[in-house]
Amino acid sequence: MANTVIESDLSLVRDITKLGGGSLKKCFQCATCSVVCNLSSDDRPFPRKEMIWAQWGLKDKLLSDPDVWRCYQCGDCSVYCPRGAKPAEVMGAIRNYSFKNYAQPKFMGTLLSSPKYLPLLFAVPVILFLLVLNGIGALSAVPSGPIAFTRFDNYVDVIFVTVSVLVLAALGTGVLKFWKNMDRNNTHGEAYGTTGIFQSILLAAEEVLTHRNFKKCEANSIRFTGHFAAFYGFIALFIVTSIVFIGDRVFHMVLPMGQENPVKVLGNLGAAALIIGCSVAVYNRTARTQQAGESSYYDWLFLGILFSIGVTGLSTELIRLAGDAPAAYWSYFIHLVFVFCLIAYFPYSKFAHLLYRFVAIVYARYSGMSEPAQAAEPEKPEVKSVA
Amino acid sequence: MAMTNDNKSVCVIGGGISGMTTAIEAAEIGYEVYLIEQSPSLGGRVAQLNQYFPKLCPPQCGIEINYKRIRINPKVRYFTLAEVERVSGEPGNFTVTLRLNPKYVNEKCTACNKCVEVCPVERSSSFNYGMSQTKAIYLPHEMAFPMKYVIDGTVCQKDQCAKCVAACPYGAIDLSMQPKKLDINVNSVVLATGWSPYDAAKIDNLKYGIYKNIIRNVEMERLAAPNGPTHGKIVRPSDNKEIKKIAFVQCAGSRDENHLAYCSSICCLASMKQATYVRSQYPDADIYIFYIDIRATGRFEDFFTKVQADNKITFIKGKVAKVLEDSQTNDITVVAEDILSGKKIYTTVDMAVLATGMVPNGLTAAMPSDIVYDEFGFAVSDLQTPGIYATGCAKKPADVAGCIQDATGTALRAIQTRVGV
Repeated sequence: MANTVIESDLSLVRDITKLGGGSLKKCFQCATCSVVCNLSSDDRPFPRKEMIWAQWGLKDKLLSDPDVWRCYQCGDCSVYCPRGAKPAEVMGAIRNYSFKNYAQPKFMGTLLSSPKYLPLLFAVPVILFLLVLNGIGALSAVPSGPIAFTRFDNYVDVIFVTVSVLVLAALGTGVLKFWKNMDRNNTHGEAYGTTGIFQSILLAAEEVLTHRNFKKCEANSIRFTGHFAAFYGFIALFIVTSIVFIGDRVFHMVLPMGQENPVKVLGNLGAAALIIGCSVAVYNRTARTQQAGESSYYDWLFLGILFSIGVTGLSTELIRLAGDAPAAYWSYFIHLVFVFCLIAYFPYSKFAHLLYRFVAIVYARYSGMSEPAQAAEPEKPEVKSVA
Repeated sequence: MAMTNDNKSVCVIGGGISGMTTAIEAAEIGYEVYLIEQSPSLGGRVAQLNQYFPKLCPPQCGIEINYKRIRINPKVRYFTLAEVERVSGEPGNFTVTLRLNPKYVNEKCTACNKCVEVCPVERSSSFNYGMSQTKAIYLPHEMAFPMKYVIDGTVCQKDQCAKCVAACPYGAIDLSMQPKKLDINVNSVVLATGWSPYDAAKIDNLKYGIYKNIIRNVEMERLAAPNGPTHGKIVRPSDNKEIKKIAFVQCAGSRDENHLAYCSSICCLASMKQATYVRSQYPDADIYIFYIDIRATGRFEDFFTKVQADNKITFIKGKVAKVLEDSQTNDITVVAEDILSGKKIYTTVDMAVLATGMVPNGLTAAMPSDIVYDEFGFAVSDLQTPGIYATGCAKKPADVAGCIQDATGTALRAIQTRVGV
C-alpha cells in the first residue's frame, strides 16, 4: 500500500453534484451512516467509503463497487447524518453517474442525464409513430370497424423489435463492463467462487423477488411498499404483454381478450398495482422529503414514464370499452410513446437499476461478500490510530 | 428592600468557577460585588468534577481558595438559591431584580447533621445527577459554600412533619420562610451562567436512559469522585460490577446538526482523563475511545500523547452509532465502523460513557432584549450591549483554565463601566 497512486477525476464531484449528490462535500467521515444502515455488511460497510471516494474523485472505485447497488436508499443514513451530507442521495447520484458512464453509445447517457434533452427523447417516438400512422393512412381518417389496436402492430413491431435488439446489446455491453470492473477491483478472498454462478443468480433472484433487504429500511419504509407494488405490477404487465405478443403473432389469438380471461385479469391487476406503487412513490417523494430525501431527475423521469404507462394503459382500455374510437386510438398512441421511452431508454435511465442492481447482488454472492448481519466481536483492532 | 449604587459595583450572575473568579477579581480591587447563584452552593459544575485535566488534580484545588477569598472579602455579597428575574437599565446604572428563594435554614446552622437523621423524606440528588438520594433537608455537597443545610421545598412536608425543627439544637430551621424580592443597583452585569450537559436521551440511537450501563461523562465524574454516590469507586449502574472493559463514545450528540452542531472542545480531553481514572482503579481494564477526530489542542496534545501510549487504551476512529444490550448481563455492545480498517466492529463492554457536550444555560427571558445570542444560545457579543459582559461557558464551551482566564479578563472589563461609557 505504500505506493498507492490515487487517480483522482476532478470532474466526478461536479458530475455527481449535478446528478443529485450536491450534499456530498459536507461529509466529515464519522461513519455514522455505515453503522445505522441496516443493509451494510460488516466486512464492507457502506456508504461512508463511497462518500470519501466521491469526494476524492475516485471514479474507478465507485464504478466498480457492488455496494453502490446494495443500497436501497432507505434514508436511515441521511436521517442520522450529523452533517446533512445525505449519503442516501449521494449513493443515488452515484448510481445515476453509473448509468451515464456505462451507457453505450455514450451520447445516449448524456441525453438521459438532463431535462434539457427531454423534448428530444419524446419527439423520437412521436415522430416515428406519426410516420407509421401517416403510412397506413390513419392520420386522415379514423379506422372504421371495431376498435382493434392490432391493426398497427405490423408496423409498430418493426420499431419495437429493432429497438429491443439495440437495447439488449447496449445493456449487455454495460453490464459486462460493470462485472469486469467489479472483478478487477476485488481483492479476491477465500470465499470467491465458492458459491457457483448459477447459485449466486438464484440467491440474487430470491433477494430481489422477496425484497428481503429492502424490507430492512426504517426511516423510509414506505419506499418498500411502493416499490413492491410497482415491481410486481410491472412483472405482471410484462408477462401479459409477452403472452399477448406471442399469442397474437404466433398463434393468432383473438384480441382484445374478454375481461374474464385470466390473462386479462392479470393485466388489470398488474396495472392497478403499478399505478398504486407509483402513486405511493410520488407521494413519498413529494410529501416526505425529510425521510425520502430529494429526488433526482433520473428518479422523476423513470417514475414519470412508469406511472404514465400505467395510467395511459388503463385509460386506453377504459376508452376502448366505452367505444370512443378516436380517443381510444390516440390514447393508445400516447401509451405506446411512453412504452417506447421505457424500452428504448432502458439502459440509460433509472430503469437500468433493475439490471445493475441484480448483477451487483449476483457478484456479491459470487465473490463471497457478507450479508448484513452481526458478526462476532473481532479482536482488538491492530491499528493504533493517530487522530 | 433596595441596595444603593455606590458607582463601583458589579453584579455577577452565576456562581461557578467563572462567576466566582470575576467576582473575586473585581472585589479584590475594591469593587462592590453581588454574586448570584441559583443553586444552594457556589462552585457550579467544577465542584462536581473528580479531577481537572490535564494535571489531574481535584477540584478542591482552585475552588477552596476561591471560597476562602470570597469568605474573607466583605466586598463580595453572595446570594445562593437566588434567581435573577430581570435586568434593566444602562451602563453604570443597572437594576437587577432578584428572587431569593427560601432555604428554610438560617445562619445559625452549623452543619451538625442532626436534621438529616430525623428527616423522613428523600429526594434525588441533582449534584450526583440522580445517581443517589438525599433527604429533603440536605447539605448541597461535602464542599458546599456556604456550609449550610437547605430544604428542598418541593418535597418537604413542612409543618405536617417538622421533625427537623425539633431536632435542630440551634433553632436554625424556619419552615415559614417565604421568597423575597431584592433590587440591586450596579454599574455592570456579568453573565456567568455556565452550561448544562446535553440531554443524551435525545440521541435515540445511543439508548441513554434505556440501557442502564450507558452513562454520560458528567456522571462518570461523579462515579469517580470521592464525594460521589459510590465514594469514588467506578462501578457500573446495573449491578455495581467492577469494570473490565469500557467504551468512551465521543461526540455523543456533538458536531451533529440533529443535536449540538458545535464541538464542546473539552469532551476529548475529559474522556482521556476519565480513561486514566479507570486505568488507575482497574489496571487490567481494556479501554476503548471511539472518536471522529481527537481534538487536543495546544499543550493538551502532551496529555493525548501520554494517554495514547498506554497499551490498555485503544483509540478507534469511527463514531459509535448503534448500541446493543445483552438482556441477561446488561453488557453493552457498541457498534462503529473502524475507518482505518473499513470494517464494522462490535465491542462488548461493561459500561459505555457518552461524551456529551455543553449546552449554554440561557437567561434570555430576564435579560435586556438587545443581548445577542448565537444560534446555539451562547452569548455572542458584549460589544453591542455595553455594561453587560458574558464570561466562561455562557460565551463558549471551554475548559476550567480557559474559563478562569476569561473570567479574569471579564472582571477588568466590568470594572471599567461607568455611566455613559
